[in-house]
Amino acid sequence: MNKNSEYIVEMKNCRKIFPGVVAVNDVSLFLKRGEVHALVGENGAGKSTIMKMLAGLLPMDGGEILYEGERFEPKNPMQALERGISMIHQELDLVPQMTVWENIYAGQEKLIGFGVIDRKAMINNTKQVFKELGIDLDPNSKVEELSVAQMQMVAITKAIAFDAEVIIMDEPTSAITDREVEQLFRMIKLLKGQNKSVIYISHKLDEIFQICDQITVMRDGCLIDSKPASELNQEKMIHMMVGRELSNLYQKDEPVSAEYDANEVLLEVKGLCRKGEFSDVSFEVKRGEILGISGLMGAGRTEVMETVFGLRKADSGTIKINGKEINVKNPQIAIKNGIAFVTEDRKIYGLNLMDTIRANTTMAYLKKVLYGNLVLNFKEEKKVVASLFEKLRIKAPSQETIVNNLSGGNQQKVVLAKWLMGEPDVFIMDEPTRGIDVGAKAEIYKIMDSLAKKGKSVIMISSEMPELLGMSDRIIVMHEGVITGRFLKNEYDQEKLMACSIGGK
Amino acid sequence: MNKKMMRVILSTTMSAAMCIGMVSTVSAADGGKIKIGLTDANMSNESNAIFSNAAIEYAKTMDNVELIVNDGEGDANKQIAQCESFVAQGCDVVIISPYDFDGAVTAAQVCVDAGVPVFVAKGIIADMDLVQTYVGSNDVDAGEMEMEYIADKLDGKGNIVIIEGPTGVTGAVLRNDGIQNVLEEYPDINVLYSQPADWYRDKAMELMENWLQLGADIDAVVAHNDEMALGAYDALEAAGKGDIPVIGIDGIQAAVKSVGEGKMSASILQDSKSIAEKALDVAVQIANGEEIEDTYDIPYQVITQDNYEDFLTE
Amino acid sequence: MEKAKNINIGKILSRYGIYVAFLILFIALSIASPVFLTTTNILNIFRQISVIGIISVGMLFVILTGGIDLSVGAIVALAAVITTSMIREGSQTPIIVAVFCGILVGAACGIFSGFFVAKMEVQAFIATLATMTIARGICYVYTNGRPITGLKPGYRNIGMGNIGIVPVPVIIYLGIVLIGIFLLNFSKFGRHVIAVGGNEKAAIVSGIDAVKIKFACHVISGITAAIAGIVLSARIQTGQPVAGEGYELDAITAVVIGGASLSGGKGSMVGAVVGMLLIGIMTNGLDLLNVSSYYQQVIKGAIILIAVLTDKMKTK
Repeated sequence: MNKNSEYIVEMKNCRKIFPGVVAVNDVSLFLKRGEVHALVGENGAGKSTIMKMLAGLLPMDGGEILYEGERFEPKNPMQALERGISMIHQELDLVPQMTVWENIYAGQEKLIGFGVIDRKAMINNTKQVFKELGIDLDPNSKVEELSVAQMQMVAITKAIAFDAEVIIMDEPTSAITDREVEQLFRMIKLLKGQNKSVIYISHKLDEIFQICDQITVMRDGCLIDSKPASELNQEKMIHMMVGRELSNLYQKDEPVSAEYDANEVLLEVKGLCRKGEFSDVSFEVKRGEILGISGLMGAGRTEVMETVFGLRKADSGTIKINGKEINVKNPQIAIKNGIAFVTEDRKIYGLNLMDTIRANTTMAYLKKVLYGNLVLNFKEEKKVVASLFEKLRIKAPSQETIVNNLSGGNQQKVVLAKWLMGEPDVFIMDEPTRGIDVGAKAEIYKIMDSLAKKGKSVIMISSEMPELLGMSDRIIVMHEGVITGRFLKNEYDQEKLMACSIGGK
Repeated sequence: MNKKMMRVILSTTMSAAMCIGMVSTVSAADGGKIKIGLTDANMSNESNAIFSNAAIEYAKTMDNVELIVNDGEGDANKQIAQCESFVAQGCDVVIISPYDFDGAVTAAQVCVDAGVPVFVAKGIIADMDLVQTYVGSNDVDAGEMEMEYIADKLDGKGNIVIIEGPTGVTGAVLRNDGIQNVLEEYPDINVLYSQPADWYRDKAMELMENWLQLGADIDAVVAHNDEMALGAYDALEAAGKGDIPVIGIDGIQAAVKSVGEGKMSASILQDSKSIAEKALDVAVQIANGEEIEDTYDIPYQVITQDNYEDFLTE
Repeated sequence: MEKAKNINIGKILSRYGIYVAFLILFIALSIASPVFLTTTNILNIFRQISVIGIISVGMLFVILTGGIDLSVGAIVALAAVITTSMIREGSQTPIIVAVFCGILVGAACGIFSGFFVAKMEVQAFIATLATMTIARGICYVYTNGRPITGLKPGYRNIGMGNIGIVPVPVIIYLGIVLIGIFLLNFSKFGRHVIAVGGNEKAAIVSGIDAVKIKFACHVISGITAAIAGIVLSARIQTGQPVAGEGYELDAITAVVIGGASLSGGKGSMVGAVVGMLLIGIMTNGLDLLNVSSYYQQVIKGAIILIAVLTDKMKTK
């Protein structure tokens, strides 16, 4: 009809019903050409679902989509791609064993004829596009050798190579560092300059205000509001997202009374080395303390903690718990000595997604609910899980629910429940709030705080400055495998931490 | 989606039921018929398939006989299970075409314990006192016949190789005994190699290729069955040695044709069809309480280029 | 309202699809054959599935860890020839000792596979394929390719005897199933097996020794296969070096029809028994109805497909 319509995409009263849940309830969304449009909301708000309908990954149960003024209902992702709609998922759909250019042209290979591919042309084109976008990457390198951020660049380049008019990015910054975020933003601005439209799904509120023109907020499958970014601020937006004021996201109170010796060192690491990963790492954590670990991706933070937990072997150095030196050969020994490890990627290292909440919760300390050392005591198990279920306010029909059906925040709570069950002394938490919504974040902060207050030690690796600043009693910063900074509370600020993260002292 | 599920389940069950209807030869009413259970050794073997199919065809011409044929699929345990089923179904007589010389004893024992008359056809078992009779040929004869044929051809002198059936399996053991009996009379015939190819054509081909690779100077090939003889011949032909005499047992159609084309020298026919028909006759006699003999020998026949046309059925 | 109803029926069907199929087949056969529903025949069915059924119990443990055990068929033969060779007529060895040795040999095969799968991280398919070939080879070497016959008469009871009206192999099968259910559903070990199969990395982080668990599952599988081999050889009164060929696939089929996933972490003992029964009554029923074995294979294949499809629907 009208090719010059103001909107390139008009989604009207879209609806999606999953068994038992209305995931998207009559939501309308209008996207202009050359617009960066933020789609925000807590996890489970229906953001990804509505975008999957636009990208042809899910069929619609109601409503209609107009694309360039014409009715458009993609039956599969290929149809959406052909019309210029490309979705970049959190799990980047790249083939690790193939090269960068092979991935970019996968599915639309340029041919010389008779099915023979035109290698040269494709490599040259890739170089050209990289140059335009200011990406420093060799088209011939294998994708598996790239960092997450670089893979993301490849995925975006692939979208552009498909002549995408609308690019949907689902949580593009959840796994990349601040510096890489800047590069991503440069790319988005370039796309915008070429009059392409971007839909940007994110939890990170400050980013949204940096680059987005329009903000649409969803909650519980419904549209709350859509406004130009200039008319909103963070508080207003958070309010729209959660429907309540998050007055104090980072709950942090002083200990009520000293029921424990606040100077007692629980974990002491000295001169820990592992060739190629980190060297001479020393730190200690006291009772009732939250120790923040800052640094960029690849700084060696996770590797140090995995070594403390027995997942890796140290070349040298000592680990003392409660003043006693232990040889952490494997996680069993770490757990026995009261260390818990909430890993970075809960889906890979934290949960058995196919099993129930109950089985996942008791995975680490099953011995607490056994008759003797072999037979399960179901009654006791259900009781223990029920109390954790309630304490952590896990939102699920029952403890028999399969973990895969939970939202990210609730999955993370199950991981926490697993470790809380054993009442360990030292909690190592690696990016504990990644990819979960604001409401669940607040609850996890509360749990961390209450742990500290009970005299436990918490070590938190985080790439999110606000939570590091808000939650930590002390912060140490790592850069390329060595500690480059140590700060007490009130000593640190964002600039200082960043300076240490990139290698300065 | 859920309706689809239901449809999948229902339609498959229905089609399964239809299959049953189509191929079932059992009528619900028994009507005083003689019920005969037959467990075949392994119907994926042509000679056995000929045997079973001949029995099924022959049973159709007898109006007072109900025949149930089960395939033992080359598994002694299966044949036992099938005999148990025959007993449960109230068969009047059970015929076993044994796959396993030793294992089939238990199958016969099952019938004997239940008081159901049982006899073996086409092959014998370790304990022949257990069964009422044997209908078939003597595998020892087959071995002797094929070895005699080759010995004649070589004028009692030369190097041969033997391709055996599966080790320990009735037919193979007896056929080999027959071959050895004849070899004792011919000291100048030298056995270069003797190895099993488990009745299979492809395995025999591999075996032959390996022997040729070893540079053996082979004058003739003696195989325990036709499938293996054909496989050996293929290997010889590929190596440009198609003039070496190859002989097998069973007289399967491919072998008959091969003999006709002057490729394989000869085959010894185990007359599976006649065995099947005789077996059913004997079963009826037993059911009617008539006297029967200890064995019914169905003789082998030698198929050569002179008479192969008589054995072509296609 | 309408919708809610549909969902419920669908849920029941997809969740209990295999049980529904089992029931339909059972009823259909009861009508089609007057013999089918007799006590003798039902006992026959159980006796007939017991050998592969015993194997499938161990197989389920391996499959739950995300592995596969191709060596069970060969272990059946190896345990059979070892045990029977010790109790030929005139031998002084008590049957119980011979049986114990057979089981030990099975366990040794499991240890062998387990070492390569769990410790050396060789893919289970390849490692157990190697075990299979080696074990089968040892069978031939040990027996010189000849079946072992002339066994003490008492041995026959293990395969053909009855306690009351219940055949001994059935009692052994059900006993092993009960032990399997206990281990899988009521013990720490079972929980750890499922955790390792569902997500090995998460299990390791949770302090579960995944190497030990996988190792143990292979040993269990070796032991059950050996027991199956002893029952089989007692049934056919022969130690056959060629016995058990293809049994691994039948056992895997039963386990998969029973709802287990080959990628691990999912499966149940009751499901494996029902899967085994489904194959058992189908083979038995089709034999009773005089259906040619050629058709039987087609129908068996169709049932495997239904089972897998049902499973797919469930996860969608």
